[in-house]
Amino acid sequence: MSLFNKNYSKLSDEELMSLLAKGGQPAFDELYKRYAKPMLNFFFRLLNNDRERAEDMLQDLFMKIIEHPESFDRTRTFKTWFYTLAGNMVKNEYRSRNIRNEHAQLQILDSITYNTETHDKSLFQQKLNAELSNLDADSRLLFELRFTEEMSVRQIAEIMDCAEGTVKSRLFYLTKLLAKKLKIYKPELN
Amino acid sequence: MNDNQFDKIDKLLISKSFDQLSASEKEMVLQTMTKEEYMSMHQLYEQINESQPDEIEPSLNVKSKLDKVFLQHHRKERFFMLKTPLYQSAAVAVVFFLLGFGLNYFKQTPERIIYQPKEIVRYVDRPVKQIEYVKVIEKQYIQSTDNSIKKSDEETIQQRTQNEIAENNNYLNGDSIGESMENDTLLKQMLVTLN
Repeated sequence: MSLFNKNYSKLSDEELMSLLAKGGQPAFDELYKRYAKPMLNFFFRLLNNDRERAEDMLQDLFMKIIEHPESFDRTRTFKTWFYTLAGNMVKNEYRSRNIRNEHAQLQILDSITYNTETHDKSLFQQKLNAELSNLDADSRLLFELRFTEEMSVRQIAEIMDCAEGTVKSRLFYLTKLLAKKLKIYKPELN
Repeated sequence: MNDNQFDKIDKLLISKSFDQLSASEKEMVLQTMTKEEYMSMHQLYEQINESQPDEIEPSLNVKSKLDKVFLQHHRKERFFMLKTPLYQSAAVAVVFFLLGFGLNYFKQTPERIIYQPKEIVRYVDRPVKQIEYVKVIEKQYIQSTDNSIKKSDEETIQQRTQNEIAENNNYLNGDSIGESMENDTLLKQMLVTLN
């Protein structure tokens, strides 16, 4: 049987994408297995921990590759192309939910005051989330790709469609800004 | 700050605190930022690494919905993208053509003659003779355009006419004596009554 059954787990993302375009369900299953969780968490963090919306967006993202697999740019790696799609979806979502952002931010700040006696790490995470929610979509995306997804500058440049130098300088100023804002919560640094 | 400087400082921020930097590294760092800025950024890097947010798992509902969409989409696609060789398509087209041609050839459509009235209006400024041909029952009238009636026919007509006259005279002269019958005409009934 192994002669006829492909071992999909050994195939690259790009090969799986080709098989998916031909209607291969196992190829789709394998891609889903690889990317569903990271993409869900990517959306979850960027949408202020809104699980329901994150799942909706995850579904929409995979629908795009089911319905239009031909839109995959074969000159790029699947991962960066997929994150570009996801990043664009997040940017669109940010444009349509400016008002809701304020609400989410208030919720985060409330949780901080409520949990004042929790551990420093948790406190830092909450404050960081609050500061991140104040950022524009591009900066937020930049932070996620760099620090959570741990992507290289080259990959980020490809996803955000800008020069590597631009990514580096924006990362530097973003880190500097966040460090300055979070400094008040780290008394030892004052 | 150029690209090289960024790469170096980025590595240092991840790996070393300010106190751990060498003299040359400190010199390079201080060209770009203050000691406090470096320390706070280094702390931020450390904190971010230490405090990775909790991760969530996608619900099974999402996958089942996507599977349905996948099946529906590719079922349609398979139907439209069915690949048939050109010669097969051509053969099918020829068969259909011949079938249609044969059906038309052997099928006789019933023909019916329809007389359509044609109205012609003519304006004339002189007397016009109009000849009307009327179809009549042969027993009562005999018409002939060239008046060439056969002799035997003439005799038959004359005999028939004489018989009819004699019959009528009999009625009038009272030769026909009897009672009126149910099938008698009104004139016959009157004649019987008078007699």
